[in-house]
Amino acid sequence: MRILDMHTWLGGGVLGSRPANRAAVAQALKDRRVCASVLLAAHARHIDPLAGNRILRAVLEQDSRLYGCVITHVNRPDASVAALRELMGASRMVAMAIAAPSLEAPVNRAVADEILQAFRRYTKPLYLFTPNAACVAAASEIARAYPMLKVVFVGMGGYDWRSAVAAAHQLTNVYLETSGTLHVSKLRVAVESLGPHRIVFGSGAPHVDAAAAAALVESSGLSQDVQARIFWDNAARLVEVQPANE
Amino acid sequence: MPGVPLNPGSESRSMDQIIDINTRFGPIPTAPSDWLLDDLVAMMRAHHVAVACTLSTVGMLLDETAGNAATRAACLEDRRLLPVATLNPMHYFRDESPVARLVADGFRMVRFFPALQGWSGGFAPFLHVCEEMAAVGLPIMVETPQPGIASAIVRDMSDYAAPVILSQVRQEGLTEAIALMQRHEHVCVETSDMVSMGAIGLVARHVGADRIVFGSGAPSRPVAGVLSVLQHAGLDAADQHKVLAGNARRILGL
Repeated sequence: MRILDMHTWLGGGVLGSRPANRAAVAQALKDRRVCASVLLAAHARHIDPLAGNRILRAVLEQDSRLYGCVITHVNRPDASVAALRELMGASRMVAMAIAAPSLEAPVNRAVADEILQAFRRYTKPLYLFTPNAACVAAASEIARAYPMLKVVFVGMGGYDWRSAVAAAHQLTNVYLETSGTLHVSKLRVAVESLGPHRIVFGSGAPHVDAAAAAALVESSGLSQDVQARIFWDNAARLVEVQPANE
Repeated sequence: MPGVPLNPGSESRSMDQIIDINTRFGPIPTAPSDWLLDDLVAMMRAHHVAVACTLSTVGMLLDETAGNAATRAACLEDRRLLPVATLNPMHYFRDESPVARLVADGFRMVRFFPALQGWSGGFAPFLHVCEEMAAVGLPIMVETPQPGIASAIVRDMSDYAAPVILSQVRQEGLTEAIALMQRHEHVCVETSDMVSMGAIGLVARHVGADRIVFGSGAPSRPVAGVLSVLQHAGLDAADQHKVLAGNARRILGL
């Protein structure tokens, strides 16, 4: 089954095998039969939005299976907007993420507004990290305030995935990305609540091996047709990725 | 890679020997859904898991006496389930000698949940439990979700004669787990939270595959998750079989 991983990190793992360059990422994708991947740069998340996203762009230029998500940071609006203007127009940059000061902190809409205003004209999906219910609530506020944006809840609420499912049920511009906890029933509950069209596969690799994340989908009890939508169709439509040539 | 059954129905018969050392069942209102015994058994069947070490969530969350009784009852109903007890040092007063009774009741291991139950290594009642445990030599498994917990617990059990298995070892805790295993031969890890890229292979390279035990976290987590990661861990078939069953068989005395 064709797989598009919407959430893979370039660098940032704590283990020796962290994929911090194109070759390592490509090998990891190949080993796990992932056809295409949306990369996020750990350097942009943790160090410098502009420099980190430039590194990402350089990596994307080397491999047609790789797409990018520009990471912006609420504490660095100027550098973030500069990164958007420089990089977001590229066809291989398919989304933008907004990062909060810490991994577990929500993105406050008022603080993020300058970046959101700069981003809205690109009509590409917005990634918001939702590792917990507080982040889901804050992301929901942004999704409600910007109904023209397609908002991807990255991590699907973590252990609070029911809050993410409930939010997506209310907000039709919200998509759920499947990384987060490997809870065996979350995808079935999400499909029962939302239908299969707004759920996209993501692993969060290297923090979670894409093989484990894929096994969660395969163990979900969902039909092959629904799995195909989650693994590829929904995401490919969302970020306008063409079928990869393996 | 041969030997690792990922998809139900695609396994080789040799994989009927998988032993899953980390499963739990029962009500757990803090989780999105309860962990049903029927689901666990179905997952075992789907992935040819021959034996699952399991315990009731009641013992972990509230009352170890009631929980251990529920565990024992479930395991008497299905011989593929091996009973694992739990003890909460917060409830331990040294006047009931529960450990000897656990052995008499057929429990094969004892699990501890310090972070969940609000105690830590060095906790005096836990030291008393350790003294009583030392007399019977049952393997123990300890949840170590944050860095530092494992070091404190192993310090308390540095002379323990039976294996001490670290559970819930995430990527942030790998260096600690490896360091402890390098210093203490009786310390092992189970795999249910080792789902980061390269985690299992990293442990195998540093301390050997003999110290890694397959655990899935089922039924809340898919058995296939860790099996898939194991497939990409870079272990040869012999080491995979050690992880999937051989090490657990040795530790549990099966």
